[in-house]
Amino acid sequence: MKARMTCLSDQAEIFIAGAKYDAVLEPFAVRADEIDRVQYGSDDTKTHRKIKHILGTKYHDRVGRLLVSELFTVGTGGWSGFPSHKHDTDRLPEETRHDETYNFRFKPNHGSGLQMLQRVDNQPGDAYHIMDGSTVLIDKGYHPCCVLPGYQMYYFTILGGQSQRSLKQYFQPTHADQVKTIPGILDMVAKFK
Amino acid sequence: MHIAPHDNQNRPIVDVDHPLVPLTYFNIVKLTKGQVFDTAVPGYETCIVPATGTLKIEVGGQTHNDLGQRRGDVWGGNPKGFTCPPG
Repeated sequence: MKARMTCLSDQAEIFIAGAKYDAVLEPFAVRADEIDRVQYGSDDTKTHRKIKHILGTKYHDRVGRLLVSELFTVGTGGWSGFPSHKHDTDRLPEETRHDETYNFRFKPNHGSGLQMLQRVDNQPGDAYHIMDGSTVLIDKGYHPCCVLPGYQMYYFTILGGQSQRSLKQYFQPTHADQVKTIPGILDMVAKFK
Repeated sequence: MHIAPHDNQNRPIVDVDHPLVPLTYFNIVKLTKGQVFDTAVPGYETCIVPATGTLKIEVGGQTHNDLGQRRGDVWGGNPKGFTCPPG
């Protein structure tokens, strides 16, 4: 099905997020007041964030495989995607395969951060220096990210499930004890189910 | 994989069947007032989310007239979205 967009404002920058899925479901609008929000982490643990779910769990019967959300750091500096987790292999009940794509923004926009990608527990991984407008593709592995002190970070998050929509992250065993010590992590997990 | 910021000229940044993340698709489209853009992605359901700006959307016989209310940057308010079935 084709969608036609016409720009009504002076300018617009539009994200188009997609997930591999064949069936034709009825299109619908998600209004600003229907956005599901969750805030978690803390300033003390340097992990304070909030997520606005545009297409979250309440749409399981209307969307096939696509999850779309926006993450904002709360305050400046700090980490996200932690405790580290992955979702690259379908092996329920422990984990689902969901591919993931991020697009990052910083405020002020000359800020920047780092995206880690660690494919094997307890072995060094890769890190990318991300800037305003960077896109990161998460195919495999544990993927925390952080922003420089003094800056806020945002990332648009697209998840596409292989065999189901509901996401099951597998927390990296090395850091899994912090799932209990960082506030609200289990609430955050529930909103992707 | 990291794709550094660049002008993608309204063409997909992560296209269908990307070798690393084949289950996702991503495009950034930049428009000025009055410009029209058509999107249809075979084999993928999509969701249109204005980062900034306001759109009229026409899909499957439906018209939605004020999608998006943020100006300047993504910190300016709650997002809105519109889903679209595979093209």
